[in-house]
Amino acid sequence: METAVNATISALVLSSMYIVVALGFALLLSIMGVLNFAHGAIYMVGGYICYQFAVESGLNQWLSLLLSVIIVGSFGLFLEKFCFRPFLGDMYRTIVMAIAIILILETTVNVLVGVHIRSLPAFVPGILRAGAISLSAERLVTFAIGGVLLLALTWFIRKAKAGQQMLAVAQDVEGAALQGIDIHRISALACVMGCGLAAVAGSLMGAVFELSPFMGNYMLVKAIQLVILSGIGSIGGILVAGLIIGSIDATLPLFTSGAVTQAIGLGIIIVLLLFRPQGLFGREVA
Amino acid sequence: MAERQFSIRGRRKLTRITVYVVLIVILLLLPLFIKSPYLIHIFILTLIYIIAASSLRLIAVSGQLSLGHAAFMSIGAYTAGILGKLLGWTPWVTMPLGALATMAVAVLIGYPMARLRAIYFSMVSLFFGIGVLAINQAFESFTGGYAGLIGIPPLFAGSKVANYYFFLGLTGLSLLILHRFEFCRIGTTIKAVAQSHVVASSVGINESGYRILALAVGCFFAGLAGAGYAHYNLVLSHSTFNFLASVYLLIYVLVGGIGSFAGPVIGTAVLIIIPELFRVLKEFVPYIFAGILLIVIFVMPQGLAGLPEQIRSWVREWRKGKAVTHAS
Amino acid sequence: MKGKKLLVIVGSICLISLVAALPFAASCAEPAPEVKTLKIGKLAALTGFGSAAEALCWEGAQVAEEWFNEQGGITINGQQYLIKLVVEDLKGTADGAVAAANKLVYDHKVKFIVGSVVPYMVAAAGTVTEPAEVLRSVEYNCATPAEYGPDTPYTFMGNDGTVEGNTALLTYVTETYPELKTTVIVIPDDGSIPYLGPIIKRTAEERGLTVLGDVIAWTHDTVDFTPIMAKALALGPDTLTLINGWPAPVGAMLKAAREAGFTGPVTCAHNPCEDILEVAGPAASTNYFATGIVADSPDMTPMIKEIAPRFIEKYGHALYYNYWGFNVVYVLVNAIEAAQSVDHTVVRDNWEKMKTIDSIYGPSTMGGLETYGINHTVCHPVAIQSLMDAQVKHIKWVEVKVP
Repeated sequence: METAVNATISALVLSSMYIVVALGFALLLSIMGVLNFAHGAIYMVGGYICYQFAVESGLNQWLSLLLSVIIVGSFGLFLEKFCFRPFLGDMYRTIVMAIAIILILETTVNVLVGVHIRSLPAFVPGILRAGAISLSAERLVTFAIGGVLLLALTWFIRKAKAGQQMLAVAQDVEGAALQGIDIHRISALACVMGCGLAAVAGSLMGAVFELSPFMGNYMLVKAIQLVILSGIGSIGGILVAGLIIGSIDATLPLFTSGAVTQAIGLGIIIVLLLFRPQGLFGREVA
Repeated sequence: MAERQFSIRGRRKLTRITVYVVLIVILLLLPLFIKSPYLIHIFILTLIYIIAASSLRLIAVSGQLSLGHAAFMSIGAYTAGILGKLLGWTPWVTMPLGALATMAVAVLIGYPMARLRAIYFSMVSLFFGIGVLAINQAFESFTGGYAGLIGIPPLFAGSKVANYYFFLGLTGLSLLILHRFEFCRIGTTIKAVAQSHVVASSVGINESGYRILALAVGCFFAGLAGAGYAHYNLVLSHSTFNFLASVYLLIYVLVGGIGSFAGPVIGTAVLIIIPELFRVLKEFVPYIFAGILLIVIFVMPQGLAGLPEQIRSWVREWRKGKAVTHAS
Repeated sequence: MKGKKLLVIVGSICLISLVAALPFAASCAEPAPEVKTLKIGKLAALTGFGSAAEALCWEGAQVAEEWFNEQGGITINGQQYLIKLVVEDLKGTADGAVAAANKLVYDHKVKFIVGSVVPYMVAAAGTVTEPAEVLRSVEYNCATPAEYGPDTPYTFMGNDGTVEGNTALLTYVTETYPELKTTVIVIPDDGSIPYLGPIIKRTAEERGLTVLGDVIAWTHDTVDFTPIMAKALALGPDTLTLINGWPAPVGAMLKAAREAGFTGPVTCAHNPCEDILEVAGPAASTNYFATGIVADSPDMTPMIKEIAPRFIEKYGHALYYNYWGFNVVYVLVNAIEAAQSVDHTVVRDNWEKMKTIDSIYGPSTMGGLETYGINHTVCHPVAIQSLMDAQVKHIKWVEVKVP
């Protein structure tokens, strides 16, 4: 019984972690139509920058998180203008560009920081216990932050003017431009937000798990899984997709091996996509 | 005027034929002046990956951008490797079997995938690629899982040069077949279908069928490359066939130029050989790779294969600029 | 516009050439003819999987090179030899290993190699080095025959491997805490379970521990270990026997276990306490036992006391895997000197028969014939350490003799 409760809790927490990572990726894909494979690398850099401020410079960890978000978000501006804008619509060259970015970021971190495993101290230390159930405080906080971010993003898209403009661009670029929306400004905003979200995710995960120059690769695949399952064009759908994949990843390993878990998880997604390629909530694409 | 144009085209064709002949002669005589077995090893790997990259391009021009091509290579590789190691069959049998097995899987998965549009096909192929490795891991008693498969019987034990000539022949043959396929009636139909599926279906062409065909042929050669790799490298592991490997194959094609048949050949050669030359830089090697990628996408829209044409157009522009200033 | 493009190309080519020229310019020095050079290859994953530890091994190896050369190298039959290490990056993959081994064996033409750690890379490199009869002193093994066994007659174990380290650890833990009766074994799913599983189970049972359930496996790309630990702890063991892995996953497992409420002892050889503390955080870092080097403990050997400050001076840290890298070079060069020959086959035949050999952990014997099928394991003392309330303490040295 307690295994079941613990499994449910860990499913929820894992889902929220995946969601936080996937949100940034989803923004870029839905709004700019850019498959930003470099998202994993940016997530990693966000974690390391937070580490640099929090551990090496001794600043308050939440402040370091904020600084990391600002720095990585600004990098998003650079990315949008010089890396993605020249190749909008050209999926091939965007992929090549993303790989170049990944290589440069990973190698730079590898060279500067070294491969020695580091970990951010817990943002909120301590373990919460209720009977036989125990949960670390930082995982709970990550869960909370993930939920808050998701809600904030959904509100932003529904209510804020810039958010509505983003939605318009995501639905129809030309139509949006005809309405007078500055596509470049909106794309830049989307990129900044996407990178900022990646930085938050990297810092949080760097504390819950650990930091390594190559940690982005695994999370990238998870982010893609979530976004494709939920569907391009849908932000709220990330929640459902995250819950599904998080639950699979948290509970199946209890019964079977990690490889079979992965195979089953992927199998489900593939079968779903074969019959409904736009994912659960995505818009229909011609 | 027409005659002048004809002779320019004729000259270009002559130049191209000369280039090919010279290239083939150099490749045939390579072991005579390159003695280092390590460099021969690099050339052999390049040849194997040329087959894989060219087959990926075939699938790509049919409108299906596959992000799981390395996984198809792994099917051919592990089939050949396991048959060779466990049953002791000769590579001359296991390699075609590996290629056929890969083709069979491609047809099976290609049928439902053929209906998918561009990006969705890519995503499903990505997940399929990861899934293949997960299944590989699940059967680790046969495949060795993450530890890898070791002890595959070799094609030509001990002699790198023998392997080199074998793969030179295999690659040449594969490229020939792929080229014929692309430019025959079926091939041109496949490319036409990719250009406009609306027009194609209105003419009554079975788009899905052609897509599956392209996927099958492309994956046959991917499996062949993988099987060849198995019997050359004698060691297989997941790291050769993971998502990153699939992306790299795609990069070889894109950097070389997806519009040209020679694209993957040039792209693979450049992106494998150049970082090897800079091996001494150790952990800085990825910068070199990234540098090549950046140069190509910013400066060469047609990829490396389009370089001669691009240089010609720059020269023409420069000449025109001079003519203008002269005229004024 | 085209001029700008041209400039970009030319500029990039110049930049690349400049960067590439630097290392070539640097490697111009040649030693004096009276002193010869003994080239030893080093295989290490400097990038990719395993690089967290193997890059540190390379650091250690470089210090060993300096240490030997400061004393004038070694003397073989009156001829002085300085050591020169040549490293090739395994890139964390099996074919990276094959390529690196090819480069060392056929391009650099080395006859001696040190490294590496990760089983599939060791085995993959072996497919190149063994036929070429290159003598290897590896840093680790996981008891799989592909890495180390009768099929690899030119491979020697310079450091303690899975079996040796965990045997020492289990011996200490069961002697010190006789109240522990049951355990669960957790091993990474990297092909070693069919071999390590039975050996570790037997080792545990010989020391009075009952092994509950089957070996619990985890894959290398696992990020969240909560389900794995839940599975292990559901069996209700007194202690957790973790085998292999790296500090990152092992630390994550310790953290997950403690967060799930498990307070019993957790053991894992070769994942030293200071690294685990870094990953798991102070709250979870208690009741954990490992093998590792606490440099400032007075109980350390003279060699360790001598080289620890060198690591700190050169790299700013003295980490466990640094010692691995140093040791494998140390034992190899000692073996070469003992054989008084630079012929790899002569050194090998002599090494197998050596009664004692010096390692940085103290005097060692050769063993392994029964366990692995070849008598190529350097059996040296293993240092046990504990992590209690976020404090790392060296406990004692345990002699390990592998039959």
